[in-house]
Formats: sequence, structure tokens, C-alpha cells
Amino acid sequence: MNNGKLGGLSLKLVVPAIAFAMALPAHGTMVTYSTTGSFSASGGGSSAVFTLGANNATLSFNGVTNATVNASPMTFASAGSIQVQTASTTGVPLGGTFTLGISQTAPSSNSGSLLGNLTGTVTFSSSSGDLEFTSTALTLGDVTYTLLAPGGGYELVPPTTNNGVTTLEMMLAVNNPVPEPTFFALTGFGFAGMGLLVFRRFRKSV
Amino acid sequence: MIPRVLIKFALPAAALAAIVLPAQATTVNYSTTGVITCAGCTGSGTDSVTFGPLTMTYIPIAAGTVNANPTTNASAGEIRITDTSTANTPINGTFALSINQTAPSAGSGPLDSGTLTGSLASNNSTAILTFTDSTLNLGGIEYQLDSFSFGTSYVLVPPSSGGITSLEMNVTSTLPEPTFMALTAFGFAGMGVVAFRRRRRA
Repeated sequence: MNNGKLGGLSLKLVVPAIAFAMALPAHGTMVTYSTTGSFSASGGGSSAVFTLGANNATLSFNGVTNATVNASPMTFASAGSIQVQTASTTGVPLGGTFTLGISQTAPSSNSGSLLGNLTGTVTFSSSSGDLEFTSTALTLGDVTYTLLAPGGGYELVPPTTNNGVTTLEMMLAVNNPVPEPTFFALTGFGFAGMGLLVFRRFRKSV
Repeated sequence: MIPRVLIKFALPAAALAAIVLPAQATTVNYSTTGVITCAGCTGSGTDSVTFGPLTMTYIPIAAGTVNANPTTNASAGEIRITDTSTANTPINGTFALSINQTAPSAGSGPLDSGTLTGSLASNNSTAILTFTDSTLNLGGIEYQLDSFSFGTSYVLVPPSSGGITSLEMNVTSTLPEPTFMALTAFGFAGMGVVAFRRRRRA
């Protein structure tokens, strides 16, 4: 009797349930974040002018706005880019610090920052500009952001190549992955099926 | 005799060379090309390939000009990803990067070859491009990829966070400076004059 019932139950409930769960979209931990940048040379602005006599060079940070990535268990992502602009033929020295701010709105609301040092010089056609971070990892809630900075730091290119744009890459990883909906669905169906069996046995025994 | 030659010829020549000659500026004009080769994709052998919903495109440097004195950072182009699916698409293949130089001398050659591995979706990426970290010397100008994300790899970012990864390199001049060549020439000329006068007197 039980085998018959269980077999029927399997066909009527469990198999469609598994099919439904399989049809659920693949899911991970969606992380939504934005980045900001501030140069100490400009008093905290996202763009700074460095000068040497009558020569000057401008560095601008272009952040990422409300980017959503699936970080379960990890993903590469952009932290933004820095653009060098100058018409100077004389090397303009860079200096001071650059603070990369990361503001996370999902899966939890948090924010933090990473500090870097600017060194080197730039002209319109040459650059030894370098941005090296003192710390490359930042954890916001369950998500760790790790800047994938090269050993010597991000190398800034001059305006005559790629319009002076250098991209900053990072890695996002979830420390305590949230169980996927598929897991919840299958577990729920499992418990529901067990409950149904117990209920039927209990009703027959009464 | 020798001191007089130095005073009359060599010293003014050296001073002239040091003051009048401009600081060395090795202007390098270059462009880049990239070819992606992959199995199971469309467009293999070009700079833009498609893996199902995913398109990977190399954006070359069409006309880069840098002053390699003696070295400078420079761009080797960008890789851009577009993807319409949140499902991960595995990628595999190779990426060959070449340099075409028009100044200070003309030449071209393969800079480096990379291997594409990992997977990409519209909002996720585990894809990396791993190079061999080789160098290319074109007439005394040396090119080498640099600024790797880790090891000798660049990471590719998904479209939802921009989808653009820039490739940086170092361009280094190993050519001797004009001042060096001028001083050397003046030195040999001065020695020649001295030898000539001595022989005439003898």
C-alpha cells in the first residue's frame, strides 16, 4: 500500500516539484555597488589638477554607478577608470593620495574606502604615473572587494594612447553565500511531501 | 698642444652639444592589432568573436604616439564584452597581439599571445586572458605588456560593470641619446685633429 501511495505521490508531487525547481533561474548573490574617487590634491574632488610652473595635468576618475553583478561565489568587475589629460611636454609630477570609495546597496547597505598613493610624472605623450594602493581588500557585509592591482600598482597611460584611460579591475567574492532559491524550493517540497505522507498515515490509522 | 686643442675645439663643442641639443625624445609611433582564435565561436581569426549570446571585441590602438625616454606607460588597446544572457558562457581560445611601428623606424611583429579561459555572463565573469609575458624589440624600441591583474593575466569584466578591460604595456627606448652620439663624434674628431697635427709636425 505504502509503495503504491509513495509511487503515486512521487509522480504527482515530487517529480513536478523537481522540474519546477530546475526551471527556476540560476541565482547567486546579486551585488549592487557604485564607486567614487577623490584626490587629495583637489581637496577631495573626483578630478585633480597637478601643476609644474605653467604646466598642468588633470586626472579624472570615472566611477561605476549602480552596477549589479552576480558575485556567487566570485566575479571580476570594474572599479572605474582614471583618465589623464595634459598638453604639457614637460613632466608634471603627480602626488598625494587617491581614495576609492565603494558604496554597496545590495545584498546589504554598506560603504567603505581604499587608499592609494600617486607617484610618477606625466606629459602628453609619456607617463610613469602610478597608482598603488596601501590596502587592496575591503569587506562590506558578506562581500569582499579585492582590487586586482598589479605588483607595482595601476600604470596610468598618457593621453596619446587610449585617450589616457586606464581601467581599474577588482574581484568580488561572497564570504557566506546565501542559499539559492532552488535549494529552498526543493527543501520546501521535500518537507511538504513528508508532511502529506504523515498526514495520510495518521488519517488511515484513526 | 693638447690643452689648446681642448680649449679651442673640444670644450666648446661639448658645451655646444650639451646646451643646444634638445633633451632626448624618442618619439614612437605605433598601432596595434589583435586576432582572437577560438573553437565553437563565430568570427574566429578576427578581432571580434561571438560565443552564443556573448561577443568579445578587441579595440586596437589605431595611432599611438609616445615619448619613450627612456620608458613610458602606454596602452595596448582594450577588450570589450557584451552579453545578453545571465547564464555563464564558457570561453576558450587564444588572442594574438601585434605591434606595427612607423617611427623612429618601421617594423612590425607579434608582441605576445594570450590564452582565454573561464566563463562570462552579462553580470558575472571568471574569464582571464593569460599572456606569456614576452617582449618585442623593433629597431631599439622594446614593447612589453605590463600592469597585469595577477600573475601574467588580465581579468575581463562583465558588461554590467562596464565590460571594458584596458591592456597596458611599457615602451622602452634602448637607442643611444643624440647628445651621447654628438659628444662621441666630437671626441673622435678632436683626436683626429691632434693626430693629424702631430704627424704633420713630425
